[in-house]
Amino acid sequence: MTAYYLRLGFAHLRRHPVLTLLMVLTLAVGIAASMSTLTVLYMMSADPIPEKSTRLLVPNFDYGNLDDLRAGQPPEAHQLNYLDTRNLLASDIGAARTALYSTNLTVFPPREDLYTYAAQGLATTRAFFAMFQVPMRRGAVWSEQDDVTGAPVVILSRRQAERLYGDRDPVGERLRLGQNRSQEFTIVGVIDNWTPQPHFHHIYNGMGANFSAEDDFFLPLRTAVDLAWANNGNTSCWGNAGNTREEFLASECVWLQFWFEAATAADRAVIASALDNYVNDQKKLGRFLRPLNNRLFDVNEWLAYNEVVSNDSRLSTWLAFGFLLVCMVNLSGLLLAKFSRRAGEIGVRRALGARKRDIFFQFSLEALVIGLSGGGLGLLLSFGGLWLIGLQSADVQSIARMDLAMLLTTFALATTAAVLAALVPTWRACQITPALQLKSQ
Amino acid sequence: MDFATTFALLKRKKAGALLIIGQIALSLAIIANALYLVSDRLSLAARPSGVADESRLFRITAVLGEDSPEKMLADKKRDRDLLAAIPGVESVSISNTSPLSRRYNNSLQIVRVPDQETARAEASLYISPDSLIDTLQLKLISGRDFRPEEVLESRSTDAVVNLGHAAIISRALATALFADTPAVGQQIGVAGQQLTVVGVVERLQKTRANPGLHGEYTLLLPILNDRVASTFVVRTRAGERDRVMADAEALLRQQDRRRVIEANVSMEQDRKTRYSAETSLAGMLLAVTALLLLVTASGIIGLVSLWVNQQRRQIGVRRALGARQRDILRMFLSEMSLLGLAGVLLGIGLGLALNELLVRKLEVAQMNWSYLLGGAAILFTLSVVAVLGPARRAARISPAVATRLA
Repeated sequence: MTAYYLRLGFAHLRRHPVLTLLMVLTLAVGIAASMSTLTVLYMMSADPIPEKSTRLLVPNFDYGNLDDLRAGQPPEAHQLNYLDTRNLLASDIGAARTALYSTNLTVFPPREDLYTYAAQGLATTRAFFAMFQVPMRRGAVWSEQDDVTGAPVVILSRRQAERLYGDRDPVGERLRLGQNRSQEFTIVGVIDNWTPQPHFHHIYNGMGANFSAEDDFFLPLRTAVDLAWANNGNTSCWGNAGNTREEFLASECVWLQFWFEAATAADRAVIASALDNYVNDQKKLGRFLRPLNNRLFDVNEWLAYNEVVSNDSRLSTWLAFGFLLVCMVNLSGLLLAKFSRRAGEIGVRRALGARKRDIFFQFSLEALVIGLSGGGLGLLLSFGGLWLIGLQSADVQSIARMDLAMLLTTFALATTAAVLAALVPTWRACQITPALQLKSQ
Repeated sequence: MDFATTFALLKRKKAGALLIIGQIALSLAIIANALYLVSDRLSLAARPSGVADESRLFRITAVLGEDSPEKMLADKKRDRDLLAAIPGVESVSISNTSPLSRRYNNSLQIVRVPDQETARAEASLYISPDSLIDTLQLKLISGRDFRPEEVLESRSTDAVVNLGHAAIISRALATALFADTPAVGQQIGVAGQQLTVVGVVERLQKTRANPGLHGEYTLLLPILNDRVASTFVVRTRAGERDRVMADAEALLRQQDRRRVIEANVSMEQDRKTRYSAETSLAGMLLAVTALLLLVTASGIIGLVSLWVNQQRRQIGVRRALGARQRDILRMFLSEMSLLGLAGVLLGIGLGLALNELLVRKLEVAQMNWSYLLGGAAILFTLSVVAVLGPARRAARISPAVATRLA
């Protein structure tokens, strides 16, 4: 019977092409709007490192003065100062720990045909690569010794390595990099393509881009600090920032992002209390004037706290789904019109013995067909929608793309919408009494 | 056609009637909120930066090679003079940043001296040894621009960072710190140093153009520093901006092959980039509004056409009994008016509820009534116009239909 119903359904759809087109189009447009906005929202909110996102933790301490203290508020500082960074790196809190800051550096290419150019550098410790599961393509991460002494070593991103050295293995080569002081670095490694979306590991990166920006060069934290390479991110100061470099490093200016790795999710509480003890110890030395107000965030909490998913994306998605709802109501009306025209046919079928549920099944099947074609057309339109949304900025463009899950969701949404929209018209079709229809023939 | 008859007629087509009411209500709820959001976002993007005639401005940032502070300072001045000599250039200023560029933001707490407890604000700094007032064509509303003798040179090797003695502030900052008292001549505290306000400009936005009043808390300082990144803000003659931008980049590259041109962007482009999210959202919402109106209209036309078909005999009988064409028309119009009214009333309720939800969950501000009422008027008119087509077809049904057997 199913095959017969399908043939019957298709025949009817072909007989009223304008009505059919209108129904499919209405559904398709609603699906396209909803799915393109939903896809962007889904990509933006995706967990960038699901295997470890509950075990990578960011600490926040409440630096700040007493006079503008407002009770119950989270710390204004989102980063750490240099003193706390050094102390915590040297501690054994957590299974692993790292700190990082972004720096804008000038690259002096070894090739004559390239101008010097600006690139994004990340100053961090060797633990960073294991903690964030950064894949190495060539060479290896610098050694513990390099971290301690601040050796002039650098790791390139794959894109930079190819730009400067083509297919050659650059490990061991020397490259001049600089800011207000430049010097020769030895390349010790090249990472493979690594673009976690969003860039949760360094939200404060001065590029204002959470999704599309890439780190070009990695160097030891100590090296960058010794060279006095400036922070290309956020620097916030409480109290005096000092006039000299030494004073700045000793001040309560925060500019470093810190990460702990917990061995298990349960260790989070252990790390939290260890940090409380640390701050209390520092209070005895006269620092941290405000009452204890530490925070610890895991990856997803950190992203939510920094509002990486903009409210605008959520707004667009909600309104797009509202639009889909109107399209469904519209489809309902069109289906009502379509089914009402076939009152005679339904009457004859019922008179010949079809039960109400057979009629229900037949028309639901027709609605399903509309749902699938609406879904197909909607999918095509969604690609257009994603492209339009991506026009906004390079950052959004990098995540405005569909994956398999969203593709399947499109069809599921379309068929569900069509079947739901068909409920009322189909129910009314079932209620048609055969006798009335036969009489008027 | 009185209310009771119309209502009775509609009761016989309950499903369709409810669907039309539903469509109108949902569309109104969404359209009212959407149009409000569009107006909100577009008005944010239309805020003036304080700069006159933005289409003639661009910023070019060069990263110098490293050198002694004296050489860096001299190089910056030399580059500025070379840029000023390019034909088509009216004015050049060395600066740390440019309005709407969202780069190199320096902000500090500014306090009123004395009375620090009560008057403080976080302001963004514009640091330039040249006249930014001149290059950006800012409007000076009281006081004066900096004098050449007030300009300082600041080196990274200095033991102490000296901010000088003079500062120019924006009117928004002046009101925040001094309320109604004239700000010129007053003392302010900046990073522990005391400066005198010598002038107040009408408006200058922070480089990030934050929403709200504090997006205009800005402070100008007459300092030349030896920071390695040097931004030049250039005003050109009308129509010559693009050519000058290309010439400027070529010129700066020529000076030193080691130097990096980090950015060469017009203020027009900066404005577009800064507000790309807002304009995108506005565009999307307008598209959804247009589609919604289209979908609702098509839905009404579809259903009413169905009713016309279903009621052929009744209409024929009416005509045979003496109804004129315009009576038939009036019948449909009054049906649609009732449906439209019901839909619009329900829609106003839904619209308020949706706005409440958005306010609570997505930090949207409260919509005012004009959007709901305006939307209601649009949708009501739309539904009545949409019904005209099928209604006219119905009116032309000949009375002879009543007498036919089929």
